[in-house]
Amino acid sequence: MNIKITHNWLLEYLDTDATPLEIQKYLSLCGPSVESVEKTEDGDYVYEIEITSNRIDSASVFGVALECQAILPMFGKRAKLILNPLEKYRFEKIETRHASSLQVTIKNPSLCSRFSAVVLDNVKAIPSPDFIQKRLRAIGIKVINNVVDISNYLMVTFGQPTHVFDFDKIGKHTMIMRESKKGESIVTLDEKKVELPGGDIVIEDGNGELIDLCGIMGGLNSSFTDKTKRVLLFVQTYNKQLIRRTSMLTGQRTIWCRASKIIRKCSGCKCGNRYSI
Amino acid sequence: MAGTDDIRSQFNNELKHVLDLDKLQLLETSYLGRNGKINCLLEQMKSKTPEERKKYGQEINELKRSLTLQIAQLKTLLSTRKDRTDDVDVTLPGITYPRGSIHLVSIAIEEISRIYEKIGFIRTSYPEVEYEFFSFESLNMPKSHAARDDFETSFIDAPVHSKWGKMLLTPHTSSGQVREMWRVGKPPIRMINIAKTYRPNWDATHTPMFFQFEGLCVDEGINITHLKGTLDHFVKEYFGSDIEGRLRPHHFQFTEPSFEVDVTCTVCKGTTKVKGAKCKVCKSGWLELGGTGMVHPNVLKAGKIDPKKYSGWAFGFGVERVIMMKYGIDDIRNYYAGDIRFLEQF
Repeated sequence: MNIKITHNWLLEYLDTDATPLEIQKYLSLCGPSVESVEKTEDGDYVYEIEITSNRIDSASVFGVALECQAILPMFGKRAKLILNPLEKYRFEKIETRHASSLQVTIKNPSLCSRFSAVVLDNVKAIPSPDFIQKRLRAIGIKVINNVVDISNYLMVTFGQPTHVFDFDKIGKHTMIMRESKKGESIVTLDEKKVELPGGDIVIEDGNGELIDLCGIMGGLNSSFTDKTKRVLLFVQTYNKQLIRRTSMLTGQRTIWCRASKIIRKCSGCKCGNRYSI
Repeated sequence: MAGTDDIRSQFNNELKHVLDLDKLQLLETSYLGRNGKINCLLEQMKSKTPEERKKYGQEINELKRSLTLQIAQLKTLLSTRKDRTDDVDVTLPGITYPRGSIHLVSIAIEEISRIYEKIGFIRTSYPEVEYEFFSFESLNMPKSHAARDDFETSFIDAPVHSKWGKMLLTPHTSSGQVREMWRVGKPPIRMINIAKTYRPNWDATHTPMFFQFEGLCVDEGINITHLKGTLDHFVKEYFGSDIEGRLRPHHFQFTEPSFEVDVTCTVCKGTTKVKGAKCKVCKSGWLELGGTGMVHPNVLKAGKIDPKKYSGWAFGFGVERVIMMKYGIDDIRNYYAGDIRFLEQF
């Protein structure tokens, strides 16, 4: 599979004196094959990198930075990580108990190896910062608003898919994760109705409605909109075999599902979570 | 009379310059032909009085007769001349009859086969219509593994085998690896398998059916140096001594470690420039040849060979690709379009 990242994005995590063309040459010789390097209008460079299925850990900006740190010094180039987001993070305050917290039930533990979610209050939908917009556009991801963009930005940076719900649209603030039954359907974010073949990982809310086709795409009914006040940030690691099966049977191939199919590390969840906040 | 005299003198002048039959023919046509000068004179008869016509007609006929006689005489002379230019040279070769030639792909297969035969490999061939087990399971790709997605496969509507699974058209010649291990039983194994493979793709660099050649070498103490050595030998023998090969990291389920093989671009010879302009064919001076690696222990186990005692390497290249690189052909569909003008060049 191929991923796209930009040079300036990479430089946030990597301190190096190598030029984009040098990075292309040396990485391709010893690691992931950099298929192309293209210059953008504002002086950034977009890399298209081929990631083999055994090295999904390198399918992100941070992953490529780690590869650079290992490979570039062998050719006499300086390359050091500026910060390791897997280790360093902190935030001011998080309430673990609240009047309206989320009730979660997971029907079958084999569906999902790690489930983490956080409610964020006083959220307003505004355009995201310039640098996020530029980078997302450069790699071909649609720019919508700050919350959705951050979710996508993190996925490309860490390789961990995240999702954002409108907390108040989740019926009775309850989530039940279970396998779908054949014939059930859900309307996804792109306004398409998907009929489920049964056995897919889905989330049902307190009102009995399906609000998420896990690992593939969120539901339209619980999505983040301009009117949302409270946001549920949702980061998971799913059973990859089930995700692949659902993807094949429903014909959905989204960037989230590609990553979910092969992802192994659960710690990505934790850091993805913290960084979003 | 004026008109006829003019024509007569013109004719005599031109006759002196006629040295061969072709020119004589032209002369005859221009004077005695339908639109010839004689007939033009005859046209003018209409404007003469009846008494004048008789005389005029006689003179023209007289002219015609003498011109015809002169032409006939010269014709006889030219036909019997000894230094005629239409003599037959009997030492020339006879008429050539059209002769067939071998298809470009067959020629390449023979060349490749010969290179490996000389270093002790055996050429075998294994089924193109295979079972799932040999194409995937035995190559460390269990059912419902994501690695199978990389190989678009055509399945056949046939009964499922209880042990070997579904029937399919093999997407790679690696399906012959385990079969060869079973056939030989105990190493050493040195195999070349050249066969058709099927993947449902169709564009300038892919056809739904194409040829692949697979190499497999299993023995005690086989390591990456043997692999590199054999590949280098092939590259130099097939492309020429000025072409090099190199290995880059990659991933295949049935080899560990896995590599991709590159060769120096045959068009720009690795310089990335063709007559000052950037070489369009290669990526920075190198062309991708195919994939290779050390045989995965699981594959050896499936082949009933003890991975603790034996090791091996394997590679797989597309035959059309290799030919394209040697001759600089840019569209793979040329091979199978059936155009004689393309095929007869080889």
